[in-house]
Amino acid sequence: MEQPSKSQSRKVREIFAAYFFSMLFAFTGGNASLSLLQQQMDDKYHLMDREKVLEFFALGQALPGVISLNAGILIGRDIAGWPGGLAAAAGIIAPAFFGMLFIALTYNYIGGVRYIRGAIQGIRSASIGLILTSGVAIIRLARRRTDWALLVLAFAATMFFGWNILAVILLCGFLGILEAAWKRKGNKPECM
Amino acid sequence: MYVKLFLLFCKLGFVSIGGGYPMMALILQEGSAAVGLTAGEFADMAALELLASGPIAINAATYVGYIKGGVAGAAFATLGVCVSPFVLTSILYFFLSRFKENRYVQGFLGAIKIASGGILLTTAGILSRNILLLDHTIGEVLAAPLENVQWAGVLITVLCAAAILKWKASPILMILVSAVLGMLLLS
Repeated sequence: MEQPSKSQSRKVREIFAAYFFSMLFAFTGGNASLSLLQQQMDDKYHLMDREKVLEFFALGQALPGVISLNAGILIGRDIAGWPGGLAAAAGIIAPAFFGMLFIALTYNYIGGVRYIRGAIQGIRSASIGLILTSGVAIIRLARRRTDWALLVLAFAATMFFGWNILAVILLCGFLGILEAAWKRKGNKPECM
Repeated sequence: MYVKLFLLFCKLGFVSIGGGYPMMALILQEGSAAVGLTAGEFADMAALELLASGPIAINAATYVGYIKGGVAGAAFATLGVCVSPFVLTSILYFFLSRFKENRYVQGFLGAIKIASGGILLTTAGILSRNILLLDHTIGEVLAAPLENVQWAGVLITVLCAAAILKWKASPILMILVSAVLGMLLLS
């Protein structure tokens, strides 16, 4: 979906805008921004398609530290090199940094305003719906039996057994490698 | 203090695995040793974090930096937490750009992409428990569902998911609608 005609500086500006905008409304953490980010990156700016955004988001979970920032730097670099990576990082950090400072400084004045709390509670409830739709969008990608097995494994291990996300992601990735090795051995002996 | 804050969050970026929520537990533990973070300050942070948008780990770094070293402290702590993503993604990107066509790398990427779906459902489940169940145990909720469930929140969640999945509504429209509904129903 990438348009080669776009100038580098325009891409960098759009990466920043897409990230800033989607993070601004993510009140339950970075995960909630995924569906809005996909919409901005794919439908609005045509910088990267939904599935590729998802692929980098998954990679972000495979590293320690801030998941959205891991994913954002990879996405930005993939689209526009280092300037893109920095633009994505700035777009992720700015709303969280200034938002938190703003809340810390003004809590005594606006924290008690019930309409502001109500609006944020409303957006937090909506975030659950957004995260659900991101999950359903991935379930719709599942084609084979092994895909379903991975989905159930990842869900059950994190939800009911409290496994760490990074451990589960690496385990599933390892199973994916095993499957690739199995397929190579079973179906295409001529490739050896 | 600025150096301490930077180093504390730099370290947390490398050792905390699995995103913002697991990092919060480490912040209390490591923060009290490194910069004298108290349990009360930590509780304030957890409460205020709910009102700020963006990644939880960055909110946390900004807040701890701010109460321990003012605005400059907030900047140093936030910079610290950003070190690990830049370093680790650089290493990953280096390998990824060379072995992208490799079938095993493709197998790994395909599998983690699908697994993210399960993890997102878990996140939705945990958030539902925190936001929609009003701090009660499952037993208490089942005993008195009318009082112990935030029904207006459930309505917003379901409306939002249905509108996007069924009617292809834009996520941003649903966020704005939810903010208005929240003002009316949850204030």
